[in-house]
Amino acid sequence: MDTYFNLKRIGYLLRADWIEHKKSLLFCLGGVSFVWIASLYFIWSGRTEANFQKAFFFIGELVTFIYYCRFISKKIHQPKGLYYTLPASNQEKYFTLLFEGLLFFLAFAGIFRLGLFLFKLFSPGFSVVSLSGLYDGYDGISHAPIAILLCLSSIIFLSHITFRKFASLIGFTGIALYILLFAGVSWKVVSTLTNDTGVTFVNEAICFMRQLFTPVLLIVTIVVLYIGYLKLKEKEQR
Amino acid sequence: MIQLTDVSFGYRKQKQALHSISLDIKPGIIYGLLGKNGEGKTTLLNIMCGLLFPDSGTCRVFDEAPEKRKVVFLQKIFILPEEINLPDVTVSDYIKMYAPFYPSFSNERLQACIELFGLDMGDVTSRLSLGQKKKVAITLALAANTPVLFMDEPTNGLDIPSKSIFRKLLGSFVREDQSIIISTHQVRDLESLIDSVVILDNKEIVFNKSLDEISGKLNFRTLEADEEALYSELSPLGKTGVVRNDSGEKSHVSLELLFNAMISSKKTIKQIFNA
Repeated sequence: MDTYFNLKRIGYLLRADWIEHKKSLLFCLGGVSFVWIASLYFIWSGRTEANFQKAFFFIGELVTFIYYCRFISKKIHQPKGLYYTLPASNQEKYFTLLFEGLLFFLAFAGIFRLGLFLFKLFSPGFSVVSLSGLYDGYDGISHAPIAILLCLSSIIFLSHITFRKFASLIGFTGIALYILLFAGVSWKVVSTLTNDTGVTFVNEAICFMRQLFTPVLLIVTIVVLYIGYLKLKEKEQR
Repeated sequence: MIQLTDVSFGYRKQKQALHSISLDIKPGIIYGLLGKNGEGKTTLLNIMCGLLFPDSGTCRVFDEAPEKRKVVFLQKIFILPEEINLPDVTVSDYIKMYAPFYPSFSNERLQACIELFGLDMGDVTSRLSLGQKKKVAITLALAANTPVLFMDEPTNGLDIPSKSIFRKLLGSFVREDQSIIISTHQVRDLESLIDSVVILDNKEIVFNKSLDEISGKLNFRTLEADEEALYSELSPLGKTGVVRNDSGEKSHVSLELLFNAMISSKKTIKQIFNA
């Protein structure tokens, strides 16, 4: 019987990727661990620890995401071995790609937390920011909802699946257009509802986006990820 | 096993790469797909693998449409591409990466290939020569033991002893329920191996016959100086060529002479086989 989703085959795909990339992944993990511990040691001096941890976490997530995008881009556009003719369904291959993204993120988060706890062992005055605290806004800066981050990440991800060259540039251009469209719709809705086009518009628009657009953003994310799946399917045919 | 009916394909609308191809691939036979450069041999293999979709006509492999790329279909085919691009891992890891995907994978065949090709499982693929990389890829292709094996120029890059080992391995491995389609223009390398010849010319299949049929209708031999032939060429041994087999005596089929004869006297050869 033909199945489109088999955990055993997903395991094989993950195993194949691990065998192929284990050296570079372990090297990167080692590098990140070193940078993190070294940063804690040299930079931390009892000042705003929370902001420092949040900043490192944010930069680390960004770097991990960029590395992940490069990883999938190489895999799809310069495949080595038998990737496209391997007996696994498109769904399995796509799920594996997404799951690997999650694993990348978890690996970074794991190193980040481990580094903090290790550092705390040797520096009693040091306080570790909670997991939920990492996603709180920085002082004086409004917190960008996770839905927006997810949506923007999915656009960059799609761009790397679709385009071999200039994927990041195209992705960021797409995001800029998306933000313009988003701001335009928000402006239209807010100005219609409040008849207010003054300075308070920005705050109201943000408030509007946070309250009403989160589900829309999540739907957009799912749609973008589905397009990514279709693109991968298309790539299988040369 | 594989049926193509009136398959046409073009990479661009105006320019066809294949025109009205009909072909019936039967099990237990090694097919040699011959043609000049750019005649669409690789394209035809890719259509049969489901990597390209025909613009018109139908292609069925095990009674399924390859373009659906079902897992059970992919488990039954293996394509060895002309250009080998291996991941940067050891030979052992390379086999470990892909072997579990093929339920028919044979460790016995793997061992035979490793032994005869003299592969070192600890070697890193990026440090191997082109010929050695080809041996690694051929090893996986043969060990995968799939019912259909497509090979695109498998002997390119192999040294002379390795070509001989390749022939030996392939000849000993082929089963009655297995089809092997080898696209090549290095016909001499595979002459003793091929059971049936398919020639592509001008985007069409112009010839599709078994070696038995060929040797029954054509004779490949040294010619008299003034003897007329369907195709002839001068060699150090004298004039050799292809003539109509009127005596009924079978000769060894020279694929190179056959191919050249087919290209130069297509119409006459077709008449001989249709008679």
